[in-house]
Amino acid sequence: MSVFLQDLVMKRESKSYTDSVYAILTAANLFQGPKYLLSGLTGMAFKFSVHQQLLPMSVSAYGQWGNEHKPAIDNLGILTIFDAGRVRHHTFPYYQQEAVNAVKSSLDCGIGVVYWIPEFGVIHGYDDGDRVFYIQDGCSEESQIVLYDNFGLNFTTFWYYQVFGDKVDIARQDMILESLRLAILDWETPFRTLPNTDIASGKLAYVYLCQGLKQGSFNTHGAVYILDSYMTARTEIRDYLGDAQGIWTELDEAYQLYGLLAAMIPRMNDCIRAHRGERQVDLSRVDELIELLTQAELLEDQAISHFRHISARYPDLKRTTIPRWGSHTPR
Amino acid sequence: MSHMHRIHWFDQQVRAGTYPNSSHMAEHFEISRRQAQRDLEYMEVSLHAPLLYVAKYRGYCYEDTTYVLPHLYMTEEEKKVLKYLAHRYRQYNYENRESANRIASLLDRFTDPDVREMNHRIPTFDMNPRIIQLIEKLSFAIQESRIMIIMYKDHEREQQLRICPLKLISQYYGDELIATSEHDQEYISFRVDGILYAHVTTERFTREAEQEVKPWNGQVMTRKPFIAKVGFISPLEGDSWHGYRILAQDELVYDIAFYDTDSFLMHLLIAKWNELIAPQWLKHKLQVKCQETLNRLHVVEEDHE
Repeated sequence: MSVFLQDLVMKRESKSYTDSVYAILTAANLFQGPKYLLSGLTGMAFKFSVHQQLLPMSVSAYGQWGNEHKPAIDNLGILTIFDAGRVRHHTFPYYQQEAVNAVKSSLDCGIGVVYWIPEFGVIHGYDDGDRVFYIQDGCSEESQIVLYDNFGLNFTTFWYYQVFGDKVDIARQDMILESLRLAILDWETPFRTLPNTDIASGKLAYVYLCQGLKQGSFNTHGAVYILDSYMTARTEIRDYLGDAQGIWTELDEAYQLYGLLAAMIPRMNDCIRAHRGERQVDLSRVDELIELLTQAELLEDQAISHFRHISARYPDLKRTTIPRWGSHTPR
Repeated sequence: MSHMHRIHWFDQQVRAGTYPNSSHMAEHFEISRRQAQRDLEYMEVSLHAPLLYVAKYRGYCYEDTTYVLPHLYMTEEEKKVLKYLAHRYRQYNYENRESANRIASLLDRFTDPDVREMNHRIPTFDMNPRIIQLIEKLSFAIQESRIMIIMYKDHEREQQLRICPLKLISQYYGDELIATSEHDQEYISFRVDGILYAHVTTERFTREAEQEVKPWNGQVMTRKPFIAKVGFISPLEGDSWHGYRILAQDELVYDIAFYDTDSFLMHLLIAKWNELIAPQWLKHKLQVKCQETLNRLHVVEEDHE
């Protein structure tokens, strides 16, 4: 038995998770619209995390994935099931077997699967004869091949996959409201991967980014990757809020603020130059870049306070009702 | 040990996630790139560092981040032992002399360059012959799937047991035998130095297929290789096809193991073979690669016309 989803094409433009989900959901007809809409509704565009040394892993280290991705997909009204863990756990071979079966059944239904390669990619086919999965990373047109036996094995020592199911319709306004609340939460939580405090999130991520650039001993590739991802996300937020115009006046004001922020992006981009075929932060323009980022932080802070005003007008059952198991997921 | 500080530096860079490569090392220590490459080769081959080249970042990372560089502190006595071994290997002047000499220079790397003389007493090794004999017996029983009767002493008592031996593993304190009892399939581990007496019976036990592949004791699962079924016109010699391990053979069809698809595809383009039977995806990739090349050749020919 083999399945190969031809229509599923992943393209790296946004965060790898957003790109993966977008490719899967649009191919399965579970989502219609541009990528920035998905990025905004899931709250993924608002996720911003930076490691002290500006390591490239910052971009996907925006929290415990289960806790971040579940509310994101929930807000779209789509059923999602995921599993993840560490390969060193004794029971990993059994989880691996279960995961392989789950991925295959999802592909049998014609729906791709999010998989940690790393970074996130899409499983878009399998072949029982060769016992392999076909995986797209969004960068190369060629599929990567992973043996069933090697599912989940990678240099990061953790594994992750996520499958999707049916969909219910949620009112557009409710989805937007929830996405703003996700954005507020991300902005206000300084550390999302506690007990580690070397990766900051939201408002504090700006501080880490500026400090890292100022110190000078940062990871050159990581710095560019973080900035690129940051600039893409801000453009996405602006476009997303632009589409949501006319519901709340505060949201229109927030859109104006993100518009100003997005207008600064070309100047930020100018602070990155090509050096021996590789883009690097221009060290002679670091001060200028920090200045721009400081202004951007202020604009974003004001926009988030507008979000808070909108959020305060409606009851927030998700965050005010404490479930039986407390405020954490029962894992 | 002069190059060890370079290896330590490289290890630190990899851990810091800066994706270092041989040019970085060459630049940092003002050595030739070739020398830096040799150091990396040494790290990978001799120190078993799971170095993975990430083309995207043009540098290395660790495939398994739990890897640690082996301790390279040595006592004076150990240095003498190595010096002695290096000496013996260098003196070796018979068949395969070149290989022996290479080992000598490898061992030399671990010892102080200033200790040149070999006038010390020849060192002796403290290895209990009983343990050597026991390990030999256990290995034989594991290989032949024979039931064993052992007298085992632990901190509580001495007892006689009938066991089905499965595997020997090395722990930091010594060797351990993994076995099951004759009637149930639960794993039991025995310290080899606690086995007072062992007898290999003539009875055999049946080993379940699962028992062989199951990882034991929280060992990290290792990545399995892809397997290509390749047909040849004449039989291959030895246990590898130009470095690619042969796992099984059915007349002229061989199961060949490989990890890296790109280098295996390259190999398929230059080596001689008759038929690529499986896997399908590899056939497809090879076909696409060849077609691309043909298209390019075609374009070039047209240009000439």
